[in-house]
Amino acid sequence: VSTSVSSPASNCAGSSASTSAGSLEAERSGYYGRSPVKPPDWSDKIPTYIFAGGFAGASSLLAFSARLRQNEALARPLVFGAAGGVMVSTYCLIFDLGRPERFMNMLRVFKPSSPMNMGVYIFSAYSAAALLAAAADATGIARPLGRACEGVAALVGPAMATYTGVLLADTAVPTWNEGRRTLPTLFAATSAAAAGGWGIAFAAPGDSGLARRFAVLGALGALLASKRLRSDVGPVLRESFKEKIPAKLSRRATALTLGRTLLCALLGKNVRPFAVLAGALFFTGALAEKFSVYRAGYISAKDPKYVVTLQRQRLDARGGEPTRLREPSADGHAAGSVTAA
Amino acid sequence: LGASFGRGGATTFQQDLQNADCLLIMGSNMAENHPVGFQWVMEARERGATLIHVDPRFTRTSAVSNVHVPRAEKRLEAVQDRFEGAQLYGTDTGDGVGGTGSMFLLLDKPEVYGLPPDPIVPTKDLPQMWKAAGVGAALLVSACVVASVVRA
Repeated sequence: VSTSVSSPASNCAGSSASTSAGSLEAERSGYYGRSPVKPPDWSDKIPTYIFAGGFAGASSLLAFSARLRQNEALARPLVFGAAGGVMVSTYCLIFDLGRPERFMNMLRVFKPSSPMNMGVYIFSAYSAAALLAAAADATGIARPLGRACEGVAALVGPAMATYTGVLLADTAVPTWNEGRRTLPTLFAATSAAAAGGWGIAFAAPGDSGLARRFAVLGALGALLASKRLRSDVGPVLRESFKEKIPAKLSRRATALTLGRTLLCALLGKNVRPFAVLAGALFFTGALAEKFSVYRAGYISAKDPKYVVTLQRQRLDARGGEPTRLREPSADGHAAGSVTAA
Repeated sequence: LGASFGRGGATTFQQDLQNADCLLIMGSNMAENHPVGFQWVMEARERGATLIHVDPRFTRTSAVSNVHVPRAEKRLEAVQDRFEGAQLYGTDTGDGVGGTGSMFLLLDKPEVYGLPPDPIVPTKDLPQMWKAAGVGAALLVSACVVASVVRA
């Protein structure tokens, strides 16, 4: 537990230092040094799920596009890659619940206001389609059905790659919530880079031009999106990306981008081992980026200095207006409605 | 009650509540916990009765009572000249979290008491988030189209 001793409250305490309570303000940040927000009780299975699911979704899209171009040599590894991604995400998602049968409970409701519930439907539809497509391709049974499933997977794939951004943004975790405008795009871009990387690694250089372009677009998009994410969250929360672990992961993700793009553009085109290396770099870079965002958010919830400073700034932006009082209605009763049964 | 009045439950029937001129509810969130009986309280209120709620919590019962927030506001006025930052906290149903479920008369900024200064409910921005997801998905598809069309 990181209890921040250097309280940001001390900077703003000046005006209210007249009261005895005011002098205590410098001592405290959050609730006696604890954050008012609880970080999610998730293991690494959830960011792994987010990555694997996104990778699978983008792979299905790319596979469909390759099929349209009659590029079987690229489509097949991507279809199998998507199925692999689905298996990993199924494991992560279901076992993170503690009791696997809870997954079934989520299918008993339909609640658009819950990204988790919507996600369960997106995931169920997507995973069924992606697995059927791969099974049909591998066994040669029911090919037309398999192709139809590939189409469905390509259709739902982008939702699979982006809904996880909503899932993270719709929490009280400051960095994720403030980054809500950009998180889905960042996740889509990293998914594209990972799927492209998979294609580069598993298809012959002559067949993987499509995957290369997709991966490069994804990696550049991820670079831009992660820049925008940092400007979206504002100066205070930006610091959460500079904490040790997210910064390390983020550096790893961005520093590699230039290298892998070059490697892919120059050498990967002709030489297979370099192509495999470039593909692996795209894949791991995307993984590092997603874990970096996850860790930064986790830290931003755990450390009261992020939660409280953000809220104070929001309050100050409103002119320091304290909690608004309710308007009493004309008859003297306080406004508010209780319908007695 | 059982020992004194021979009956441990209510000593009147609920429908009679509507004829009261003044009702005092102490420590109970009657509006939510006894909604069937509360209709007669509401009936009395409609007929001009005064409803007083005594409870440190700010509940739905407090929200419809005559003397709860107004009393706190009066108290606030009394202390405001001594404590500059005095304020009521948690009574605003439009504060983003629908009130905190308890009412506080604070003499300083909420943070001094370890209360979050400006809590929000993240879900209120959900439409914006789904829109952002739509943009992300559209960008992903267009990237794929671009990759496919350029230098085919």
